[in-house]
Amino acid sequence: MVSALLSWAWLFTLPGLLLTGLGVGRPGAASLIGPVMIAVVAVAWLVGPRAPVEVVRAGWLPFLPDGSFHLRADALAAVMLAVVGIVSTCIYVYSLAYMAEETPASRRRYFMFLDVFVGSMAILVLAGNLAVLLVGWSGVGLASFLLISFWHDRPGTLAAGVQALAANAVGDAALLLALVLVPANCGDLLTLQTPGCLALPGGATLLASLLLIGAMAKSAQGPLYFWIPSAMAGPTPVSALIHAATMVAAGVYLLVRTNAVMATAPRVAAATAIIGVLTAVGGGLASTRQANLKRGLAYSTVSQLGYMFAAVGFGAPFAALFHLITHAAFKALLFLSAGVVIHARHGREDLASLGGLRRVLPGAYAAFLIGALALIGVPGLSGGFSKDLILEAAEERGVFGPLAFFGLFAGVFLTGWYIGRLFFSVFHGPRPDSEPIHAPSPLMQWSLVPLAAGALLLGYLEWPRGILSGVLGDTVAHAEVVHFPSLLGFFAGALGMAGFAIAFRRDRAAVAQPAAAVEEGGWVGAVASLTTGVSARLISAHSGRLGRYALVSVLGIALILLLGLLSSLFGISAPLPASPGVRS
Amino acid sequence: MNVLASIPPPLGSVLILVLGTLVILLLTGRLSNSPTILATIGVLSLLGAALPAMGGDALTRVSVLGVVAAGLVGMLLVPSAELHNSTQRPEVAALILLGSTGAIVLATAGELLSAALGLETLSLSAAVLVALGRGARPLEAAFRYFVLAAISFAALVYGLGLLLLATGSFAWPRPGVVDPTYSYIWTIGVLLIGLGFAYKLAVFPLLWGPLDAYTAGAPGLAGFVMAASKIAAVVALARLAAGAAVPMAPILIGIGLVSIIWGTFGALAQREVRRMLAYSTVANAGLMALALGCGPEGRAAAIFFVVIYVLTILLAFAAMAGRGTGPLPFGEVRGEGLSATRALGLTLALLSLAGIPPTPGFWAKLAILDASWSALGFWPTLVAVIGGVAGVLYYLRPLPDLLALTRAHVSSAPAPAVWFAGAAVVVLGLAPGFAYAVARLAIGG
Amino acid sequence: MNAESLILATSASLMALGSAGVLMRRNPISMLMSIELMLNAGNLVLVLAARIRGLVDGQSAALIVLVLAAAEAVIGLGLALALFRDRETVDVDAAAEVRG
Repeated sequence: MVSALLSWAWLFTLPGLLLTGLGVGRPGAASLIGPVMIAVVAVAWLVGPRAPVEVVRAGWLPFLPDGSFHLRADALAAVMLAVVGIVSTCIYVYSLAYMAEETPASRRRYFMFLDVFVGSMAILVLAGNLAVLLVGWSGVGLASFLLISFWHDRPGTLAAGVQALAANAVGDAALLLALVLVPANCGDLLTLQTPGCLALPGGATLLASLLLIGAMAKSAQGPLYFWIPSAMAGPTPVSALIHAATMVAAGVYLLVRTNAVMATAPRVAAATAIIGVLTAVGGGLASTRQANLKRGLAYSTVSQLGYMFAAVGFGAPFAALFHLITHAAFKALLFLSAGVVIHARHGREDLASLGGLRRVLPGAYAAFLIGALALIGVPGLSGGFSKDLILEAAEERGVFGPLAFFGLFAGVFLTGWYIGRLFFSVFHGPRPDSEPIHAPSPLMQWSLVPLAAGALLLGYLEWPRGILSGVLGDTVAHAEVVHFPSLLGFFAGALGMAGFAIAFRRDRAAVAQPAAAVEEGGWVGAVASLTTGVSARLISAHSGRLGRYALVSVLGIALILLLGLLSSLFGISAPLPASPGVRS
Repeated sequence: MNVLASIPPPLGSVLILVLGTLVILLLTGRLSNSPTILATIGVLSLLGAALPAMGGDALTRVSVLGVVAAGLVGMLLVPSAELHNSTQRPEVAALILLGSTGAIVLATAGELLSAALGLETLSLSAAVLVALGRGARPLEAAFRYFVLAAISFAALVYGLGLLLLATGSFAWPRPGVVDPTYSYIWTIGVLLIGLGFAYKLAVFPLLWGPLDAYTAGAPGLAGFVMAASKIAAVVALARLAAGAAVPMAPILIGIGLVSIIWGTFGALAQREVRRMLAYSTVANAGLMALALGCGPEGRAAAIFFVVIYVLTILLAFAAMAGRGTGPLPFGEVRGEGLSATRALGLTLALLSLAGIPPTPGFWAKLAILDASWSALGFWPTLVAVIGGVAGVLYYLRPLPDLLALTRAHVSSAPAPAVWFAGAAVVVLGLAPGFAYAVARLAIGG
Repeated sequence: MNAESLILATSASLMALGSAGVLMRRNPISMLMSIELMLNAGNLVLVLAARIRGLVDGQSAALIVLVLAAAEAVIGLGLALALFRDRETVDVDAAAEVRG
């Protein structure tokens, strides 16, 4: 019963969506049904029978090699859904208070978008094959765009949302290709790595690369990080949702789910690890230069996801998943307590306009501190356990010898530094002005408590006993064992705290200038301006002059006749049916 | 009764439509003041035309039902169509029926001369339908559409002559019946006929006229023109490519790829919904042309795609109907005061066009990508994939504004066309397998 | 060169002349006349084919095309006239509003 319910858990978001859409009750209250029920069902499955269920309806999309409607409710999906459900529930409750000043219609719209977001994520998590995965995958992208552009009449929010769409489009393209090029009967996410399924030109390397590109786009890795800072244009609880439970987690989840494919393509695995390490370090460095509280946290997410990607690249998917879970708790906590601060200061997010809030916002202060310490990986807190696992994997199975390990290790110092910088700039030092603050409502503060508990305690899922790895069983390969207390963990924690301490010394010294709402630099800007240039050239051909149009039409017809004649002259026929992807 | 039963199904549909046209033309004076009765007669004619087709083969059924759906949406929008003069409503209704007739003949014709006749009927009705829109823009666009259509029709007639010269008949080309002495003449003839059909599909290099017509015509009428033309053109091209794969398939693939790129870049530059939809039509036509060159699987995918695409675009145009013929800039979507039904309809249409599952546009795109991969391999499929996913960058831009319906709605009149097209899109989204099975049957495989 | 080839060449030249006319003239009436020329090039081939193949199909087709050409001319002239009334210019390229 619970198992069957679990595979259809994504449907629980529909009643909330409908009720909120129809305007029943307090805006948003009905939407809570979705995440609460997902969390309840997932937890019930985990403590209860733990019987995996597969739903397969063949012939759903008859034109695809594997077009069955295929759901898979197993331990990995349940664990992921539990995280999604619980974190989303906290964020929903928080949002009820946070968005209270919006108009009722606007609140309804907000919660409906959240429902789409969570429902799509649930489909993605429960997907048994690539076709169903893509349904959730695209839904998550759409919802993130709508939520980032939620305040649609503020300047820059649409551009920010379109940036997220652009990154998503790259990932969607990769997964679409993966979907059409796997041979018949191979769309199943767990059997993608079997030799029969890799019998395609490019083989395992191509398939693993496509999955990697898809995951990079969703998880903002490597060059595809560009949409993350602009995505801060959305309401703060949305940032928490994107960064903890739904959007960016999807990429890591995909890689964990299809980890066996990567195991057959060592070069792609190495590339994953390198991208992860570079992103971990680069994201950390970028975070230390942000003038905006939310952007600092955003780059922190990029950096932490780099750790997870590196872990997948090292062949330690369990470590990646474990870090994903603990990160969901402490990053949601950090964002939501940042939201309390922003709310209290009437929407100000720039570090220069925050400061000295320790005494007036003690709840947020404590919550942010717990989140920060967990993020740094202080031994004994959740982040400490999971990050150590990744560091150990890096040490054992490094890429480029010890370089990857040193990169990640140095990243811990950066982590301490950037989060300390944000923490001290916001809560310590003098108040920049004496404007009265907007006191946080109890609902907002209470919704932080479960997340704080998670940030403190989630690590004990793996120590002293491997509860999580036991539950997951063979759905995720795990050779890693948590060592606690360990020398490595101690050194890493000490390094992180050193960074934290340095940040305290430097305090508010290095506050950079606020950045533009949408960053248009780097390769993204180049691609965007190239596209704009080509488009402008192209539409200038549509001059509205009939003579021109007729000329091009006639010349085009002549050219096509010539090509047709040439091809029949030289016997070039259609490239059919000799083809690379012929299926039986 | 035996005489009636012996009429072939498409001919029955055509007869009923012509009868409806005559009735409307005879009663023009009375009907110009009662748009509801006018629309009712039109709708009944169209529904009546659908009946005989049910006895036909799958190709007839798909073509007739598709064209009838386009005609129905157009007809339901006649009472609210933006015209120079409201006394022209009966003419518009008659032209919709005539245009539907032409499209049905083009798609189901037994030989190519009839197909040419159908094509010209459709072209002329379409040009006048666009021209009747209110304001100066529709007239300008209609004239360009007309002249360019006439050029491609002249090419088609020339091609017919060459084909007759080469084979001695107007039959649809079949492989292996060409007199070797005339093989080059045959090749040119087939290509010219194919290009004549391709004008209706709006692919490069014949995209200019349709692009303007879709941009500037009254929304309901432009939607009908676009929908009926695309269905008929895809079916006709599929039949042509089935029999003459040798010159047609590589050319279709080539112009398909160019059109995908052209339409995508063009749509990315637009800041206005109407023109963006028009450009994106070129990209989508490119996808269809690409699929048409990909063997039987590809032709089935193209027919599947065109059915879904046409219903989606009808939904989009129906949602915009009644607001005039001018451009609709992205930033002003909200100020338009679309009613909730229309805004949701437009949202659904844009989501489907952008290919967001579970809307049918996503399934249609998948079918084409799969066919392209099976037949052509990686690179052409990559172009199609990029063209496909780039759609989100232009289709979804109006969405945040569109969904924020906070003010009182200007037009809250019932929108039967939106409901009809919306229901069709929802059904296709939920049951893609059925539509694909029909498309497979239609190409005879 | 036999008669058939000569006729075919003539029709091709007519087609080319018609196309050139459409491309070079900016007066709507001249454009319509050039299109008539292109259609008649097609008719010539149809009649030629009928003669070579000894069928009446081509001749009847040519008649049908003539009728279509007449219909096209009527609508074309109507549109051209309406456009002229609206713009008061006989240049088809003048003042394009729908573009880009």
